[in-house]
Amino acid sequence: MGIKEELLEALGQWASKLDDPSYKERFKDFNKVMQFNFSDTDFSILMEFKDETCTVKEGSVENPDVLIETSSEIILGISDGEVSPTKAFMSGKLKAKGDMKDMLKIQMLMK
Amino acid sequence: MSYKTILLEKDDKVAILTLNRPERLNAISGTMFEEIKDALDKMKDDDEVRAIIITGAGKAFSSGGDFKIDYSEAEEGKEIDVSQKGLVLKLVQLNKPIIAAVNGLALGAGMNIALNCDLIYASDKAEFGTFFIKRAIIPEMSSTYLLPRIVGIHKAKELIFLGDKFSAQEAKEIGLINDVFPHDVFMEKVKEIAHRLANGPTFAIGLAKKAINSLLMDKIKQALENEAESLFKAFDSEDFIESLLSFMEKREPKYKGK
Repeated sequence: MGIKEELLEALGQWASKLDDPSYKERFKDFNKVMQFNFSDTDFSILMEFKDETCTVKEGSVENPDVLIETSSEIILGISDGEVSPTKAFMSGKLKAKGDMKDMLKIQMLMK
Repeated sequence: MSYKTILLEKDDKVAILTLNRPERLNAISGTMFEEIKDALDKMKDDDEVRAIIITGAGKAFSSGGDFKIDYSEAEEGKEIDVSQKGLVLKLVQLNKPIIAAVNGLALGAGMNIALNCDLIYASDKAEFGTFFIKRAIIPEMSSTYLLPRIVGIHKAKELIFLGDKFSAQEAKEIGLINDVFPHDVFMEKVKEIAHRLANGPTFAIGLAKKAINSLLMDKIKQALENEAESLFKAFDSEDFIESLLSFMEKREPKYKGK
């Protein structure tokens, strides 16, 4: 599996948490776009939240609600449970721009 | 270093460090933590300073750590001192007596700064609280070691697990603080004690502090390591995120216990 497919699968797992009713409830009226830019790839990935579902796909938009800048290794590490998202944030290995509340909601899916 | 969040002044041989963000009840930002450490270094090297008072500007001593964090500005490669090991070691290793003058509310990290000082006096208007559990995290600054040692294991667990506020009088009754003074004469009383210390045999006082604290050091360092590890687990938990979201959305949190 290539790095793109690995990342799409990892972020797809985060998105699939919205199948759980307790998460779905928390994402009611959460219509936002989150973009991941990776320092080590030539592509970006979008997570589009709409109507309590989330679509993950390759692409970029001009003004995402949340912009994450990191490396593929960090995202895959978080996904495997080997990297702490908070530690990655605090150490500057994962930078996030956007509304704090939106970022926290998305962080909820990272577990 | 010129300070933005603290004041540092001298009253004869006594240095007074004032936490100075009264508009945010002296909430401790990253900048404030750095400035306190810098000021402690200055006081350590200043031979004229022989006793130190730490207090708060306005109504509060400190409402605790400031949760207004901007993750977009985190510096890559910078060491993360989540349990505030750097500050704790400076407070316990500085060979001059440090008095916490708790003039008002002392919550979370605010209470823990006081806990790491040598003597703690409180105004009768002061209130204390470990508070961390209200944000679904655990206490830092070696308080998981110090608090049970000071007030007993069961009382410490009650204070940490429930996180409720308690009065200065109760703090005195459980042995957490040295004394309570009426608010209108509070600083006068604390300064009186600080000047008595500063005019005393401070070399011997410094040696006594070192003798007492050196026996605690291994445990303090171990507690700081444990706290840092547990804090990251707590920061990554759904309950912590829910606590912040519920605070922002002005509603009661719905914790899942994970």
